[in-house]
Amino acid sequence: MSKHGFITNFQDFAVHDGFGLRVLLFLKGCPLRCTWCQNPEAISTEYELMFHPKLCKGCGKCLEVCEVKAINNDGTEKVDRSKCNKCMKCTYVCPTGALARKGKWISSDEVVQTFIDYKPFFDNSDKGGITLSGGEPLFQPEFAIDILQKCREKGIHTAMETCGYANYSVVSEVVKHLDLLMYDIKHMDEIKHKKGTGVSNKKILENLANIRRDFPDLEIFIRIPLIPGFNDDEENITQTAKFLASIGIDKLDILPFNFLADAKYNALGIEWRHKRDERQDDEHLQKLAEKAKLYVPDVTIGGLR
Amino acid sequence: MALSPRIESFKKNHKVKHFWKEGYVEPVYISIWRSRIFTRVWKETEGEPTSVRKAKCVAAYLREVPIFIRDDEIIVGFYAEDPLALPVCIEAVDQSIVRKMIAQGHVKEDEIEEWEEILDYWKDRGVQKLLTARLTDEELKIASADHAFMEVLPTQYTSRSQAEYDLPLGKGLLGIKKILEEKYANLIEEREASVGGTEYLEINDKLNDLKAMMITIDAVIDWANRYADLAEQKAKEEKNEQRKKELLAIAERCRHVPANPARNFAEAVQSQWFCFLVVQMIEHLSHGTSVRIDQIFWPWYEKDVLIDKTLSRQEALEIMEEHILKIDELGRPLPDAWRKSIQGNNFLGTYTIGGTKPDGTDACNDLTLLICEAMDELWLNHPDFKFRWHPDADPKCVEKVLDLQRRGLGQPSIKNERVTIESLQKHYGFTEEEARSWAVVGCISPAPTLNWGRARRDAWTVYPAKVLELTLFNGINPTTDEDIGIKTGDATEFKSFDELFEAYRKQFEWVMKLSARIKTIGEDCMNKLCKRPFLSTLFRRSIEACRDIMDAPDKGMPWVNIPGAVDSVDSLIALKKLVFEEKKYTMEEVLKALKADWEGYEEMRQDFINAPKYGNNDPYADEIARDTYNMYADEMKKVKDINNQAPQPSGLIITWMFSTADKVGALPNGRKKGDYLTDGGCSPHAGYDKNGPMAAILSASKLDFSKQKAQIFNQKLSPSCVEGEVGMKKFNDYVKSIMDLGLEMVQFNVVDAATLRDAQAHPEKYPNLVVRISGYNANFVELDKFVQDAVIERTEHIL
Repeated sequence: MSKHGFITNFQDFAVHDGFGLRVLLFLKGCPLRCTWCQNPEAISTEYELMFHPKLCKGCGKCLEVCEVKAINNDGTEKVDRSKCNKCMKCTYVCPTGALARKGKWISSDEVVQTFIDYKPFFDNSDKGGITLSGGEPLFQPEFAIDILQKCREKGIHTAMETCGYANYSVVSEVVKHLDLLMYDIKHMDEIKHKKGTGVSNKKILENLANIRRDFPDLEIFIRIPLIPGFNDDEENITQTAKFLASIGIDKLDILPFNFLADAKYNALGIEWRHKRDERQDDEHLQKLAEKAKLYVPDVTIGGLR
Repeated sequence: MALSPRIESFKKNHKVKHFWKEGYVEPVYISIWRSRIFTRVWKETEGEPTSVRKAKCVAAYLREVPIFIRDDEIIVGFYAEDPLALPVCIEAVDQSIVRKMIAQGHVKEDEIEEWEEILDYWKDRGVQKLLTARLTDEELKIASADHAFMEVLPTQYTSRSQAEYDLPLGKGLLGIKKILEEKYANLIEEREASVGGTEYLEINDKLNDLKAMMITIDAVIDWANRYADLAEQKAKEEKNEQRKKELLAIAERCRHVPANPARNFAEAVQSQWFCFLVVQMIEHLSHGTSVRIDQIFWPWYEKDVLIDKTLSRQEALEIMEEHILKIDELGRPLPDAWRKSIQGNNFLGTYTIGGTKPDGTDACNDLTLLICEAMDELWLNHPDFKFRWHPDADPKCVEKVLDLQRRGLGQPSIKNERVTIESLQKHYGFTEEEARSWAVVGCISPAPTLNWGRARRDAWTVYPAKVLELTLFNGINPTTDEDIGIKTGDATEFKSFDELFEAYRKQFEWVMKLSARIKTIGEDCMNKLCKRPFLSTLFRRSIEACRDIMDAPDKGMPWVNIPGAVDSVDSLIALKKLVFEEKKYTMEEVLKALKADWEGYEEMRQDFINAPKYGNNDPYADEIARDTYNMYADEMKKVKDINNQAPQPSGLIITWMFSTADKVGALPNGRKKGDYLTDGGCSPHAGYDKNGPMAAILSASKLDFSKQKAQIFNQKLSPSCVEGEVGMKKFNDYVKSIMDLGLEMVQFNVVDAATLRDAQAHPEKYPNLVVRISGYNANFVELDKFVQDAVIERTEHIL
């Protein structure tokens, strides 16, 4: 039977997230609240209202339908988020898509059908296939399992990007249908982890060790999104690498900070704490990679595999 | 990799003829020599057979035109007296082109009067006159409307000359002449035995044509000897010992080829260059190159570089680089609309590399690789290279080709061997061996080089978006209010999408028939006046037939370019959805909005922009795209070229999207008048493909490419997606997938928008920024701002 899930979008030609040529599906909803999140529109389990000022022609149609008077047309902030009740009526009348609703219910069968169209790309690339991302795929486990299972039946390589924050019984049920797992470790220090993400890293690290033990053949990449001043110091990278070595994981991707998400925060009307942060310089990235390589044999900067 | 000092210097001083805005990049001028000599000899030979007259013109020109050798040259020869000179094919050209050149000052001032006399002489004798006398007023009006409806007159464009270069390289011109002499002697015997009648007329024609062919062979050999004399003379005066040696070597080569078979790689290149210049630039003005460059020189390269080791790889590389730079120097005067259409280019020189041998095995070789290395070192936007991709192609060559693409050169573009060979066999009826010999003629269109090389321009162009306008306005051209099309019914009365589509089909059918009639007459006029005695010596089928190539047996190879097809497709999709299905708007409202160029209908326009679009792997939109492309192909199948062959659609646009921007009115895909049309043949409109590059490819893969002659798919990729070893592997897999999906041709633009914007502001910093514009490359800083903006906008769309 088909399951229903809540997603933001598909993304094809995803070459930086896993082997070969891949198509990504972003599931919406996440238990973590990382301050640097690259997909802020995928955090909540509700619809999000995005406003893209470049597309707005100032026609004023949105003003007519907004019942809580949350829209300004004076050229400043378009949506007053304190008043907006996310009824989304404005997105139905906006002719240009400047006001857009993010979030879509979709059946797992439709997702699988879409993925199957891309099979020529998967078949022509080494271990190309699909990747579930988010948000957090483990937040909608039944939906995720149904997609992964059906894709595998069709001979499609399956992968998932996850923060690993869920009960192990759920994690192991999903992981069982994977050919590749991309697993984030944001920080080794529990207190700092909690500060940056809102949750403790205990469950995350435990789950990872269990997965390695229970699924010895599964390919696992660990990913560290480098956040300036938070986790991009040599000590944290060394500790992470040591931990990975201790549980028998040999692949690590360190991902330089990406400031492109700023546009999404603007569209959501959220002030972004990392607005002024900059990508780590190459020299620093090389140094971090060297440190990691002392314990983990296979390290990339940027995750192109 | 760096250029050698000699090639670096030659590159710096070489004179390109690229168009720039309304004019040219360099201070070019039209050479009077060809027109002067041809006019004089034409007068002297009045009454003689046309092929002989032509041969005498060519011979006189080759003996009289001033020649030169430049300091950095090893391979010598040029079509005119000066590197800045443009040739004029006075007997075949639309005189307004020459007049425009004169008016713009692209002429030597003291020659203006002589030009006037020459123009006056040819006014009543040239192809233009033959044409106007035979076309109807309606045909002339539509054909002369300067890229509004169609582009079909031979006088406004140049021809093709796709010779069999293995003949002069392998046999030498004297070897060919020997065959001709034998045939001539046999015919003399036949003549003595003949009892008259049409049979004798045939013998007589053959004798005249053979005589003409032999006249040109002698003249070309004499011309090469003039270069030998000049090189010897220069050697005597030369103080630099190294250069003296080079000049003597040049003299030795020019004494030997093209008269005799080439003995080494340098002679092969020199021999081909002499022959190429005569057939391409002197005897008749042609464009394109249509050569499998890695195959025709291969035997000599293999012997010299790989077996005997008498030539170093570096020396061979320099010879190839000089050759490529010389191609870049070729050019021609063209009318305004064409200048706009091929901004940053002129000659559209196209070389084909890779592919398969006659037996189907991989044809890639070390020369293929060397040519890619030459492209890498030169980093030019012209000439254009196409790589015939197939699954068994040498991985080293494939990787080098993709590496050039991902580093932003934008070429060689990648053609699908399997799809091309299938179309050449199935639609055009060539044998498998012939089909496997294909090279691109013109911009993207494949044609066999074995047995059926081209000697005429087979292509013409119609504008499907304009035809859609005529359909919506029942035969009226909405941008001029002229009643020009046929009556296909009042669009506001159409009850269903099928009725609209049928009206569009009828209107397209009418345009195809009309254009095919004009094309046939145009080619016939060319046949009558523009004989090709020298080109005829380089074709087996004309040697065999003892006839001029224009009168020798031919197989048609026609195609029709359909720039802006995607705009028409997207317009049809939006009309189906919003007018016939959702009924959100009536056709009356749509026509009003289009007529008003969407002014005052912005919200409505946004609905049409946001309607489903081709390029998103959306079955609804893609089905209409497939039907529409099939309809174009089916209507083309009903018409014939001069050889009774039906054309197939070819999807390229070069930069027609800009030259037609003002001529096509507002369209139901949301486009306003003046906006550029979609670039590429089957790539989605920039910004309308929202689901990613792979989804766009999937949409295109649903088209039936067996019905298409060629269809470019342009795609922009972000450099970060294809960097490093892993990126190369993924890029390779991606191209393999695209070929597997059956697309006919793909090319990539790997460059970021920030770089382009900086280049727009500081052109001086980017003399070598090559960008891809469908069908050919251009140097970005040579483009005008309108075109630059369009390229930036497309590039920004990369996610």
